[in-house]
Amino acid sequence: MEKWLQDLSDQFKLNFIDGDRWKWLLEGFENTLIITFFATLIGISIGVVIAIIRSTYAKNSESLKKRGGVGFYVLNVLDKICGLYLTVIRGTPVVVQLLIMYFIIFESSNNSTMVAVVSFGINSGAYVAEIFRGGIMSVDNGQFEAGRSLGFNYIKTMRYVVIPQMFKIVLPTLCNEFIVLIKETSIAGYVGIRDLTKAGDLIRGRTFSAFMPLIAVAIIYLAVVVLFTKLVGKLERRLRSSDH
Amino acid sequence: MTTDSNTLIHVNGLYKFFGDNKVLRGLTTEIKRGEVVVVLGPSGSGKSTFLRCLNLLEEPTYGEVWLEGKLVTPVDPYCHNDLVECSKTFKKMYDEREGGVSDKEKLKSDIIAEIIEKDLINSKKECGAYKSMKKQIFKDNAININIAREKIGMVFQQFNLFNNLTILDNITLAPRKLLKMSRDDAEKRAKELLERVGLSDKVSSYPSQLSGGQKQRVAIVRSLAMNPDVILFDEPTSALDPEMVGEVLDVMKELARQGMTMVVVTHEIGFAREVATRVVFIDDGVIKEEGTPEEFFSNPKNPRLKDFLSKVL
Ligand SMILES: Nc1ncnc2c1ncn2[C@@H]1O[C@H](COP(=O)(O)OP(=O)(O)O)[C@@H](O)[C@H]1O
Ligand SMILES: [Mg+2]
Repeated sequence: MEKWLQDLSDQFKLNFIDGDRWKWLLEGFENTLIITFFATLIGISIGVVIAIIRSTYAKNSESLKKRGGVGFYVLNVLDKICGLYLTVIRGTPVVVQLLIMYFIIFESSNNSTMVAVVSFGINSGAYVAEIFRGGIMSVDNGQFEAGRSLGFNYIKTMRYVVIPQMFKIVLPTLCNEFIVLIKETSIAGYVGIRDLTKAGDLIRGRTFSAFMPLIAVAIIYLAVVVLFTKLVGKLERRLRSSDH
Repeated sequence: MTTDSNTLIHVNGLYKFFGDNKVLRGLTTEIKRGEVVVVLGPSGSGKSTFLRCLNLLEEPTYGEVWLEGKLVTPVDPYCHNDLVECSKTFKKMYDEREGGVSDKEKLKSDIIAEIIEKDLINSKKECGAYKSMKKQIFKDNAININIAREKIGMVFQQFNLFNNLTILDNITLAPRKLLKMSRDDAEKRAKELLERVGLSDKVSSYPSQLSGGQKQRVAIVRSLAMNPDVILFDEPTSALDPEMVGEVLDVMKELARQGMTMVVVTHEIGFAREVATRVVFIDDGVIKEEGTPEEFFSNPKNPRLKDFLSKVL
């Protein structure tokens, strides 16, 4: 028993204390959070735009078509582009998307963190778009009609009435998307980024002991995810009880 | 369209089809300033559809709606004989039949009637003269739908207050954003209106904290805040518990007394008797009978109306 404890403390010292290797983990964790945070922002922006285009098309295409003019064609093309984007992004592995971004599209860039942010952001946008679209569709149509009947045009009705209610409905799901993304960024090491996972792996390579660094990495992810899940739960309860 | 200045809304040959379901079939009527028109009819007869066509929440399949001499809907060629006469379809038919006919005017009107009856105009294939005339009619008469809707208030069966906003914001949102009223002015007016319906203490509540009757009174205030020329009510008391019906009807009676033009779909016969200037019975997608409450209720002629009244009275 004593020997086992001694062993454990030696291992701990070797992996984290010697050469300040705990700092590697810290820096990696920082990178993970940065990438996740900015990718979420990009994802939300893309998601809002796509959700609005798709639900606008679904709602207005018939009357626009009847009325004639270019509006219908513009919207139709935009809707098709969004559909293509969703199909491609959701139909290919995120690792492949990351590699394509890094080695083909941003070949000349050496800011790999930026490439990861863009890549994960674009990926997340596809999923967030669907979350938002579901949110928009679940806002009662009576809210929309009340806005229109007062004289608000389509865009203003969305802006003042539908979108604010949509955000409230999707907020918990959106936070879950953030949690998913934190774990998903663990593949950033593929393009040479020292995120949390990569940091653990680097320590393993240096000390030739896998247990400590990898378990530490797992615990950090787990702690963050559990924490956020708790917060989302709280948020959900708060939203439900306020109900307005 | 020739309308005297007393006419607020002119509905001309209104048709609305949902697929094969022909809900409205050529409904024509006029609503004059200051009128309180109560619309009766069996469930599913198209009363809501009729109201919703007036502010284009539903797009009519055929027909036109005019508000204060301005065209709200797209141009319907079948509402304009001169436009039909200008079409290629008409000219072709006229040339074919003209030979040996002496009464040219009768021939013309027969052909026009036939074209309308059989829906023979295909707008996309018509000649340039027709198209430019149609465009001109639109240009000369059309009003932007959002502007029209500012003048046509609507009160829904399900209230449809904005759930994310306080009562005060529900009322001031449209005046501030659309009429460009300052926040202070809009809130002052909103509070005056709320006072009139006895809800001064609810300014900072949310809709979910109000009873049905209170919500509907707020909904009426919300539409009043835009100073509309007419308010459409679609069964405003049908979703309410019986004890709350009175408080909403009282507000509507007060509005009527002040001269507001109203079109009210309701099953409240008492309200119709007391307040309506005209009662309209819709069935099979057209107005089957209409008149003042006295003649309408005491001496109904249409058998369907008699049947209907025997059930609700
Ligand atoms: N958006 C819609 N899509 C398809 N059918 C509809 C729609 N709205 C109404 N209808 C149909 O139109 C008919 C008339 O409906 P409505 O105008 O609501 O009647 P009322 O208000 O007199 O009860 C009904 O048969 C209804 O099913
Ligand atoms: Mg109805």
